[in-house]
Amino acid sequence: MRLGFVARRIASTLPVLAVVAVVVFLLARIGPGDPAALIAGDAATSAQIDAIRSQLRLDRPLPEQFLAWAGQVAKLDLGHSIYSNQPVTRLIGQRLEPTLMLALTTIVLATLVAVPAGALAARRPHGLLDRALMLVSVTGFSVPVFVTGYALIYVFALHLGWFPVQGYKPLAAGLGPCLATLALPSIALASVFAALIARVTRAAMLEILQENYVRTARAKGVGEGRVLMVHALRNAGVQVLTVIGVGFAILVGGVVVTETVFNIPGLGRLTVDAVLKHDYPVLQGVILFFSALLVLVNLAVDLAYGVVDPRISY
Amino acid sequence: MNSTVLASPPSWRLLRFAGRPRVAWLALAAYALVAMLAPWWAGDPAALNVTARLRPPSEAAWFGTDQLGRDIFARTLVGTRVSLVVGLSVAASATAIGLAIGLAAGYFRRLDNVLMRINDGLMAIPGILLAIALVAVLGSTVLNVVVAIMIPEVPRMARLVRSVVLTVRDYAYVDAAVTLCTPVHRILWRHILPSTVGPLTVQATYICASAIITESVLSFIGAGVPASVVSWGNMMADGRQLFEIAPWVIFFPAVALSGLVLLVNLLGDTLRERLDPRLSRRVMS
Amino acid sequence: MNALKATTRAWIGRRAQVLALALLTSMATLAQAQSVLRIRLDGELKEIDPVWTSSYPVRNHGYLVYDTLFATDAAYRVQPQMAQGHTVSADGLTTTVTLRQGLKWSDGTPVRAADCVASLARWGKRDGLGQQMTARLAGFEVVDDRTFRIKLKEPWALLITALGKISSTVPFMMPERLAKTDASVAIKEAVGSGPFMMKMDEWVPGSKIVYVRNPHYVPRSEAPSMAAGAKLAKVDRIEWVVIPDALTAVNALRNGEIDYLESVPPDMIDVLKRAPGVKLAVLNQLGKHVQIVLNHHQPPFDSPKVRQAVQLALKQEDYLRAHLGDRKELYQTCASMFFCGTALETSANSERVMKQDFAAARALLKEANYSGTPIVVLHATDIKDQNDWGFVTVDALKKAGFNVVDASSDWATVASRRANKKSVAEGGWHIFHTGWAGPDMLDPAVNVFASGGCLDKAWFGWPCNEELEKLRAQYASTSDAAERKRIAERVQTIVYDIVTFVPMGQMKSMTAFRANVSGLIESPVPVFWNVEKK
Repeated sequence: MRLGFVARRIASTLPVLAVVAVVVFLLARIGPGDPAALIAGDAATSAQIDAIRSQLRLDRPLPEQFLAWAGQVAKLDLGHSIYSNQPVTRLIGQRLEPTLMLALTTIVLATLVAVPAGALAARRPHGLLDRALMLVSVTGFSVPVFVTGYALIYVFALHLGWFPVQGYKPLAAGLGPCLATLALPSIALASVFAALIARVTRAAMLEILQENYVRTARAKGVGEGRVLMVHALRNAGVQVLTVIGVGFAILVGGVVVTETVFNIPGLGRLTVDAVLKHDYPVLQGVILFFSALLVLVNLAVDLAYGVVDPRISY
Repeated sequence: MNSTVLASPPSWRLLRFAGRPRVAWLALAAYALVAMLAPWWAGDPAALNVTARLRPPSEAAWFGTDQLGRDIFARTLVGTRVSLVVGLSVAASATAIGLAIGLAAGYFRRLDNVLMRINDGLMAIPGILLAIALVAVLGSTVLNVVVAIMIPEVPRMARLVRSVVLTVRDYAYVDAAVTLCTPVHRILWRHILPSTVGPLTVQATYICASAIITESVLSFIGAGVPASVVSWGNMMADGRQLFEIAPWVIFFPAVALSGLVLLVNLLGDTLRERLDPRLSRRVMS
Repeated sequence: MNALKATTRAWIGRRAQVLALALLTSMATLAQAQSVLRIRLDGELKEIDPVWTSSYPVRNHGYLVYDTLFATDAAYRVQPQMAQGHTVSADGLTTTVTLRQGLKWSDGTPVRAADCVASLARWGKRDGLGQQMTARLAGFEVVDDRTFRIKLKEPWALLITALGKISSTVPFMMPERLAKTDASVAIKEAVGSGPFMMKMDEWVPGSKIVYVRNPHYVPRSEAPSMAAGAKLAKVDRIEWVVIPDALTAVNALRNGEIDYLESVPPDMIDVLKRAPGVKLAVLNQLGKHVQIVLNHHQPPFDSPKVRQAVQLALKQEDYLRAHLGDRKELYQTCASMFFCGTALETSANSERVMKQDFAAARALLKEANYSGTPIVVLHATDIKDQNDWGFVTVDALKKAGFNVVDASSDWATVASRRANKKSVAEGGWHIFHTGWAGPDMLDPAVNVFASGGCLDKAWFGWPCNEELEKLRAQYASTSDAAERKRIAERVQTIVYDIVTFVPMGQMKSMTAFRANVSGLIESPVPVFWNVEKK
């Protein structure tokens, strides 16, 4: 691939990350709620609270705080949690695996279900299957993740006992137990993601199936399966890749809720806890991490465009 | 660009076709009616009655009561207001701001780079994290929730408008207007803006649906509208510990919420289908 | 063919051997398997310094890792714990404490008197009773490795009671090098002489805290009695699982993923009663109070009549039922600020507290010329009971004629806002809710609402009343039971007149645990020695 293009694309992520850094930094600094008072506890005097405030450099002017913070971030030092005093990077590292596993299983599940479904629905637009699929996917979109989650727990964990109700077993405990704890959460999350993928796949396939080369393939007597898989799907690749990029942001949001419902000790839970406790360093660190990840994913998608569709050149 | 297909801006045409399907429109109208009339008709959503906690649906309370004895029927109906207000406000404001940014970025090349960099930066932060953080920072009021949900939606809208503008900017009639020394604001208003209306409306509809869900998610997490405001999200957050012994506390607001979002999404789908599919896909990527 | 069969048989034989070996090994491992108790306590461990903060979760952690010089037994008498005994000089000014033989810290080093002295000095800066000790302190003296003296400037009848205090802040003993940490800085290491020790390398903040049996712990010989007696660790390992969502925790207990749940959400009690393999019990008989705290410095609450109108507006039953529904075995209305069922229980001057009379409240408001200033009620919505009580308060005050602002937020914001002494416009407040537990409310010395120390010394709300301060000093200097009762009644009379707070009922919570867990001790603080898991 053109190295210049790749280099340019990578370089263009830097200003984006800079904007993210400024936004993230400002977020945590403007607002009510005094972390110093929170850490000091109920029995503290104002003198003790002030001591903690200066200890955490919360009383310096904003630009100075930002530069200090940005410098640390560049060295991959995201500071320390106000509450547990653990380094934020360590907290993120501890919580990374559950979130990644959840995201992975969700994407795999959603793609496996949605892409064939969307493709099949596109074969006969406005037919029975198509209408049914569209209705199901819109419903999947519309019902909030936590509602789906609780419903799944109720039926499959509490009544049928097929899956554990909560918690997460790490990979180290074995792939089977790990997946068992991820089954319900990923189904709940996948219901939203799959809906999205199915719609886009269907839309893309609809357009492609009308193209000349598909008609030619059919006329040549190529089997329907091959038509779908080899000719049509590959050309839909661009659209599907786009939706993965867009869907990633939605996935992150869903992860936050799902981890709360199923008590998975991942980054989503870390975020919610940090927000409620006004634990600014952790909040900043996690948002920064997710944003960097999102930028990377988009970068990968953009680069993948060049591979999937040789017609696209930047 | 096949400009013969788009000899006239497609926006007005699309709105005429939005009439069907009738049932969905009626349902949406019902929601709106409920939202407007609820405070007078439904009863007091805040009336406490601790001696009648967690009663299942009955003659006295059609949807049952919650853990403080409040009537869920009244609360569900009154909750429509917040959802519609949040949804519509977010959609309207995100559209307005996104439109302004997109027009500026698409038409004025010098602004494009700067605006798009900031845009991409904002888009790089997962929307819900940004919304949660904003509510936590700004404080919990309905206005702040609207702002917090709106801000992450603006970049995508701006991008959409910008790509329409980029496309339309090269059309023959725009070229003609420029040659005739038409003032910039006139070009934007009369020649470029109308082309954006179609995709804009569709996207705004989806934003409305997404905002309604986001508000409920924020309340579920505890970073949503204040507890004294009756919202489906708050009701579901209150009721989630109880769903095994009193599922009606979650059930009714969940159905109401899902129903409204479903209808709005269906509306968006309908609007999008009416638009020329090729144009919509190209400009919305 | 035969050769093939032979090789196949040999192949099977080898596999069988391996299988058998594996089975045997796993059986052996099972026999030696660690007993692990998975507990879910309320709250979360943010800090691990139980002297620096009075928060209950950290206190509970403290009881796992640390030990105390003296401890309170089931009859609420103070018994020696790490101490062998103590003697008091004739003039009452010098107390000599001797430690038991052979006590060790969890790192194997011996416990010395110097460690205890340093620990007491640090605790004496943070805790209310400790500060009273420090105010009277002439000095500590280390006599030898097992003996030390506490020298006071004036006699203090509460010294040993203070050293055996069961709840926050507990005077836990730490090694000197940690106890020498400045009192305003939290320690980061957990080295104690208690029955368990914390495994720092397995601590996942916000998710899991792990404790293992402390091999260096030296128990007493008496039977366990609340916080006193032998503290034998009968399980090898305790995992404190942090599950913020109460419903998830309940489900986890039902599925056997955790073994112990400190407080069951009242509405889930019936569900757990029906669940197989789950038992319920009230381990904390003292329970806690719902307490409405008023800010004495923000108008209109600077007028005593307006504060008394609040007493008349609120009804205890509403608060109790909002949280506990029909479960009358778990709650009672209680007129006493020192809890009901305790030594100092009294109903002095409690008429306004115990009745709800909107007309009388309105009359008082009129007398005080209440002009409709909005009352800011801090309402924490992320904690279930706080959430419910906020609504009850707002509703009742409105009905009594107050103009009310429901300032809902998360608990963290409430906790920081209540420290704000400024006006409402600058982020101040009028009312918030809290729930101090029994052991911290028992007498005028520990009860924060008995303080009239004003903006400098009192708890949030900052009521100012000199007589209260005098009475508390009197209480501290007498050990006569009748005199103490008299003082307590007088304290309550004043408190209910100036309304430092309004008590809104006494309630207990149920603890749930798996049926194979036994040996749980009835105590106002959750403790895990003596607990076995079959």
